[in-house]
Amino acid sequence: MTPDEAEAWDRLTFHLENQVGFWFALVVGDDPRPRATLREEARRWCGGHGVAFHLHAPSPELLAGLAVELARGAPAGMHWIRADGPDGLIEQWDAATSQLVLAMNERREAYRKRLDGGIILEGRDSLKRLLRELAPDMFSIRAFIAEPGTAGPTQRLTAPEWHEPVHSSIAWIGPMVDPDQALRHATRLAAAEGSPASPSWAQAMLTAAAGLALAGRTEEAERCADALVAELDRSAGDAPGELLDPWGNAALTGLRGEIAWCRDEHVPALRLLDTSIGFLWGNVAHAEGIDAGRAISLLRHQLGVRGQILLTQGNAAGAQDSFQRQIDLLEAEDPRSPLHQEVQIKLLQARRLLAMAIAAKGDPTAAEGALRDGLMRLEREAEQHPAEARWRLDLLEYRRALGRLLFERGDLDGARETYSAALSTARTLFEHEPDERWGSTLDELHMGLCVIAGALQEWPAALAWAEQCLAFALRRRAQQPLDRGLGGHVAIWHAQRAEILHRQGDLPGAKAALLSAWLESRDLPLQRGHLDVVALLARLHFDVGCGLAGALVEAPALRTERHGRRGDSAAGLARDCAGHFKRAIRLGGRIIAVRPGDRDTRLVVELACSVLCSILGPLGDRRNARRMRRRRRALHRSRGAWTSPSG
Amino acid sequence: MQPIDRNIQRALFRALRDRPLNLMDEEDRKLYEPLHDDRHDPVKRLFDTIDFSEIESVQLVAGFRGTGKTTELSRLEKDLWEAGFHVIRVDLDDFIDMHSPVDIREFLLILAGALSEQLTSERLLGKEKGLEKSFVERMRSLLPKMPSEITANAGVANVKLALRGDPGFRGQIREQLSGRLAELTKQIRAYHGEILEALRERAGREVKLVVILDSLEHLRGTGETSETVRRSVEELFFTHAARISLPDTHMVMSVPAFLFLEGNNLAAQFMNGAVQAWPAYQVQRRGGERTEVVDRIIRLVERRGDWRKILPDQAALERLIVASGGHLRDLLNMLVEAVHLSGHGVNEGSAEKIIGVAQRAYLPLYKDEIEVLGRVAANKNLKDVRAEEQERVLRFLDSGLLLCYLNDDFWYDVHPLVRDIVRSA
Repeated sequence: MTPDEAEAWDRLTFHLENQVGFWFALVVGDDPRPRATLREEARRWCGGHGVAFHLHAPSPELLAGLAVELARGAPAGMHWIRADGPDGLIEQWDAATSQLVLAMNERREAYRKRLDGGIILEGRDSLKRLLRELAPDMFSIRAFIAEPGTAGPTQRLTAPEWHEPVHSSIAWIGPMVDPDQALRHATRLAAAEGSPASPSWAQAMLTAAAGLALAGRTEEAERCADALVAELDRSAGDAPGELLDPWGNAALTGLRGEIAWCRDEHVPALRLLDTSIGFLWGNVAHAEGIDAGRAISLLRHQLGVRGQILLTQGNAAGAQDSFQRQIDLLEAEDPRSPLHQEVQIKLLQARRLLAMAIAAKGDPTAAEGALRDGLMRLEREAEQHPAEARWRLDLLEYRRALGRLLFERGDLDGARETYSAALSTARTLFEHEPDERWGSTLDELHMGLCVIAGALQEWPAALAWAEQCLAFALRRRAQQPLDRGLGGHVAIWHAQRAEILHRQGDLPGAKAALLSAWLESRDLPLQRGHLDVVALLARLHFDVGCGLAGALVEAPALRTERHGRRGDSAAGLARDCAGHFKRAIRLGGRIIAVRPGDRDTRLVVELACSVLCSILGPLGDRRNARRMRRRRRALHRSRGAWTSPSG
Repeated sequence: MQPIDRNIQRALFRALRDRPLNLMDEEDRKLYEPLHDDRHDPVKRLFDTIDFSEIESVQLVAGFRGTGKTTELSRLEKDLWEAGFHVIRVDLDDFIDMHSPVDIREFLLILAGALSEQLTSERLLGKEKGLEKSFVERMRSLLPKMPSEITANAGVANVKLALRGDPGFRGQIREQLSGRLAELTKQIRAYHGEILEALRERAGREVKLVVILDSLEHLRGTGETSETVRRSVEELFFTHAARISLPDTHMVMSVPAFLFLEGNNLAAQFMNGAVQAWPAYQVQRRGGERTEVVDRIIRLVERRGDWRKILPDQAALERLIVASGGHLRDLLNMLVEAVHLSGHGVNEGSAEKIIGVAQRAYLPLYKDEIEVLGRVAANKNLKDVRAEEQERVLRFLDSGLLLCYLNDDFWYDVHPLVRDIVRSA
């Protein structure tokens, strides 16, 4: 820690130790790294003192909703709100933070009465003025303001200029702020007005459904949308006026499509989106004023969602068409608009997806060109806005997409270069926000680099990457010892090491790595994402077992040369060898139980049973040898069931 | 000097932590120290106006945040009870959404609901009698299509929540009471008459009732709503003044500072009306000379704990008091910081360090802010503030960047923590 970070941490600890009931403080600074240090220290302190630490790091769109959530009786402990980060532009964060502090100011009394703990709001320097201007009640009750990145004198020679947050962003975020309040409003309207439902009820329900979907509360969003659809159907015949205007209807249809997509129901999702897009496309030219903006915004969004569904389905041409139409609409936006930067980001995201669709269509050269073009633009933007972390996020996504594409094309050197650049960006982001999200990204990039080095047969480099991943996974597990899923990550990297060492011909090294992987993974619940790794472990145990079985043939010679130590005796070697086959059988058995059609693993288990049977017999363990034989026969008999086309 | 013991540090932290005192409470009374002199004591002025007005009065108090207003209103409550008045004190923060425009119909309903809730206090009607006088029954005749909240068993609590948090519910109330304001006023007055009668019956004598409505000064929109909220408050106090006041009752209401700053003849709108302002404590005169308030604040700090454990000498404490500009919340925050630093030992430079930390909370000041603050600092008044800058000045007063003082007239100054920065810019 730097001296001013240490000073800020000292102040924060003092309040953590002494405050009782509700309290509120700020952690501010334009540099995210010292803030991240303080956040992590606070998390550790809370963990060590039995205080619950709740980190709230939503995207700008969901930030303001936190004020409501916390006022509704949030759990006791420390609530740390991060109002800055790579998920939004500075002006988006400022606009969202304005909404948040306004909403918090209105709920000060609710926090005081219902929240047993502290709220720490973390953000850029502008947060101080936003709080002072928009939330005087909260500013007034602040316990302290920590500025971990502000060394030097407090007095500046020249006063800085103030830039008002972009209010159009606020307007955009506004309706999504509190879906629960919209829902309560709708319930009251329904109770007061009875039946038939009114347009204001329908609007409140639509707002609630959209807000809930945005917050990832898909089931609740679906219930709202269904209730609204039922009422629309019921009132279609007898109501004098329409419950929703045509744009509202299109928004509802598109929203239902999105909800269906979240539930993996692609066909109904596409049908609903096509209906909505068809209407919007045909009528957008006649819309005026606010309706025109609303229609274009809906259309852009729904085209993007449609493209992603088609891409998942493998319909690359359809996806390409959708993304291209979305891009055309985005390019038509006025460059003088205060939301120009936001539009640019959306445009670059759409172009990246378009490139993926083009690649899926079978034109990797064009896809590579599109990705390189986007990457160049992004690098320029990132250079022009060094304080804007948002660009780095897209830079990372582009580099990952390009790296994958180059790897698939066989350009391993290009893939390595691109992945290395992505890794450097991810490391910067991780420095700013040392949390699970970037940890996983780093892990994925390390793995990518490890695979590329393996494909280039550069085993030392591959081993170095695998060891880096292992160290990272071990560190994470030490930090979160209660998260059992992290044991699976550790096992993955032991397995990768084992495979590389085995390929290098380092049998003892591979054996040791495999043993570590076995110890990590034997009691873990089998997760869907870990199946391939378990299958790999089964195969590696089988391969190492076979390697040892080869050495077993020359075992008497070994015994003479090495003075007959137990582990090196023929019997010891046989037991060692049998251990690997047993593990291969046990791990393979777990895979077969959940993936009975996995023929490779079945074969590994069958062969392992067969070899094990021949080892156990000479060792005198006839009972187990018979058991293995029976098992092999059972596997062999059931093999036919899994060789059908469906299998 | 050695770092202080952690237990002492913790005790001092809790004693100095900013919270309003309730002078109806014995323990809190031990911590209280009067800071105003008799001539400028707003509580004395409020008390005298009530005492001297025969039947009813309305006094509006323009208060700024963090100046000890809530504590002083609790002193007024205590003094009034001791002088034989019946007092109902309501924190309107619990009832009103302070950031949306307020409507006279809602306000009257809130007023009746709030009184109804407070009547259950044992000093007034007690739980049984108080509930009998529930305003919910009366509302049934006024609102034929009543939302479920009113008909529910826990009516008042639910209505309170809905009025405060649900604009849709408020809209329904307005709609149903549209064109029926006279009827509503009549009902509220009749209900209030019942309350007075019940209080008289219980006390066995004539009752002089005082209603204190606190926190109304928080009625300030922010951002895009500020103008509409402001207009609604003006309409409430200027157009509907006669409807707000309750017969045979003295009322004290804390009101937003802008009503006071506008200088309209607000007091004349009410029978026996008066407007008082709650200034910051004047620790320095306009010319910068130290006042005797500093000694009183030292006594106040002494009541809370032994400040000698956290500061090197009295000069350091005085330095903090002067730097706070008489803004009590800032002073208490600085003393908490002194408690924090004392964990590493107290030294000569402690006061400067504490002031530096307090100062940083207000910084950076931006060009547009400095320009306005500079003009106020030069003239010590708001005469040079343009109409379009009034909202900003109110925000400065809210955040404490500008402080309001009272001698024979009101004067204003920039907070001492940023005064030099404003001057040098």
